[in-house]
Amino acid sequence: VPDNLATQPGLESEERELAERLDEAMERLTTRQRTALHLRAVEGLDYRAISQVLGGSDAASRMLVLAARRQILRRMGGHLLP
Amino acid sequence: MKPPRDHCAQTDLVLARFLDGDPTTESSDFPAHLGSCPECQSALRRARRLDALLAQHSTIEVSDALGDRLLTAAFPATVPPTRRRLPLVAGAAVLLIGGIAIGMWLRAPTTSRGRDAAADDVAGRRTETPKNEFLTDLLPLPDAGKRRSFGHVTRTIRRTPRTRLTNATILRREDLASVILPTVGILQGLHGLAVPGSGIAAFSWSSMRRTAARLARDARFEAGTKLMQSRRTSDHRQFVAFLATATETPLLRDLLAAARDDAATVRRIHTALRRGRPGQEVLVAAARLGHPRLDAAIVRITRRWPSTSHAIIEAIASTDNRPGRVAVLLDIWDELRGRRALGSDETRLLESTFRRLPTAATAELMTVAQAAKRPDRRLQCLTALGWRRDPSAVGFLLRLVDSRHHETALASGHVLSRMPVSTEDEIAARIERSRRAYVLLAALCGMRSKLPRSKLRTTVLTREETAFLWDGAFTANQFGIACALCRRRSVLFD
Repeated sequence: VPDNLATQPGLESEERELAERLDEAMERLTTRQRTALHLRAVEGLDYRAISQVLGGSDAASRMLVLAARRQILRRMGGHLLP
Repeated sequence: MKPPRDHCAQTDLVLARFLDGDPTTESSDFPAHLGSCPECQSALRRARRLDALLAQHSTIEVSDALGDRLLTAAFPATVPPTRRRLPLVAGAAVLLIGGIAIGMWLRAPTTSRGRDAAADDVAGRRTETPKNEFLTDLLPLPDAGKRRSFGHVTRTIRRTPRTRLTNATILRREDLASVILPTVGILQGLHGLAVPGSGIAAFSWSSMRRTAARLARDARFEAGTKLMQSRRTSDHRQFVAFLATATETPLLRDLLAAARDDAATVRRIHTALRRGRPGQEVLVAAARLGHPRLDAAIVRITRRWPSTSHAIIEAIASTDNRPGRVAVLLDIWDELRGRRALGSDETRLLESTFRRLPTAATAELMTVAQAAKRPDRRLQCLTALGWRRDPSAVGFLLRLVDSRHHETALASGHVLSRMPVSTEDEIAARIERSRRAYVLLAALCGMRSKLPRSKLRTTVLTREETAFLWDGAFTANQFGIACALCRRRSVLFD
């Protein structure tokens, strides 16, 4: 049994493939959706800050993030299942 | 893989509740729903996986305008209203103030710190840590070097009492390298993270990141040259130790270049090399420097103490390939052979070193082989070319196959047989006009090309001969046999 499962070539290639799929899915989002999702999910900004950055209301930012998540989940489909 | 479809009408609300902590969903009965709805469970699992992936891989381009809005949103109370009207002017002011402050800070080592501090600087460590002046002392951001989100840093800055922030004058080099740069590395294009009025200007993002790295390198370079020029033996020793032990970085390259041009440093190292058996650090530093005078000295040392060759060869391979390095390696190889100290370990080390040398080494090997007056030096070069398997040498080797010296021709053919099979057409095109076509046929067999099959009278070859030729990958002796077979069994010689 290998010491480090992360170094298994199979797992690495799976991870790389997932990252590529994520890139593709992100590219298909609009710039606003992509930025909103990134600021929320990666940079940890709250919706009020996102709405100040992108303009519009908090609810609109929330919808942008939700729509972006929904689109990516749909495009990546079952690949995200553990 | 077909994506599972979410039919449940509550999925979006569940995601909002559990991923975003949406307060409007707090009072709802979502935990109970989630427990009984497989679709929502699956959607939540995938969304969490997605967030983890995003954290690892997502990057976005941040334009100046967007970056400005981001800062305004992050520090609403501290950004003056004029910033919105004059974002460029405000941004330029922040950069200018920060630049001046960094400049003042970078000048500090030359005035207030001694050589010991310089030694710490060149080695990338600092011992003196003035209190309550720097960001890392002020902000609770432990685990320096760990990537943090923009949101985390801005929240931390906002939570920090303003009285403490106003004490902060400027970031230390360590802050730039270990706290701010990893923190903001993801937001490309943003000019800086500034808290106007607080005195903090954190430099970051894109071009600023490069600037910060350059400033830090410049400061360490300055500290290194101070050590180099110092007359104290301990400083010189420390400098040599740095040259010998530092990993390959632009800073090391710059310091090596400075030391190479500094006659006093070369003289001191040369003297150390001549004084009995030198220490490992002096040897490695001399080998890394690549100065003609020092090169001659280290070859002499290899002759006298063959066991030092490992460290020297590895040091030569670890730095950039300067002209003349190939010749030094060949000389060391010669010395080891002359002292009968060339074992399989040494040969393997030479092989891996020649393989690792950059592309220019192939041209240098060809030049040395061309100019070599001794056949054994030419054979050495050919062996090294065979190790490198660099297709750019094929033309040169094809010419050598037609040379007057039979041994050189055979050795060149053997090297050709080790070239990638993609070079087969270039070799095959030469067969008709080569005076030693059989060597080229054997070389093609050696690389397991199918092209020579039409040139060999396969009906005359025995089964063993056929198997031998088609197996390829010849040793030097096997290549000689392959040449003989190709000569006797080729239609070219009927």
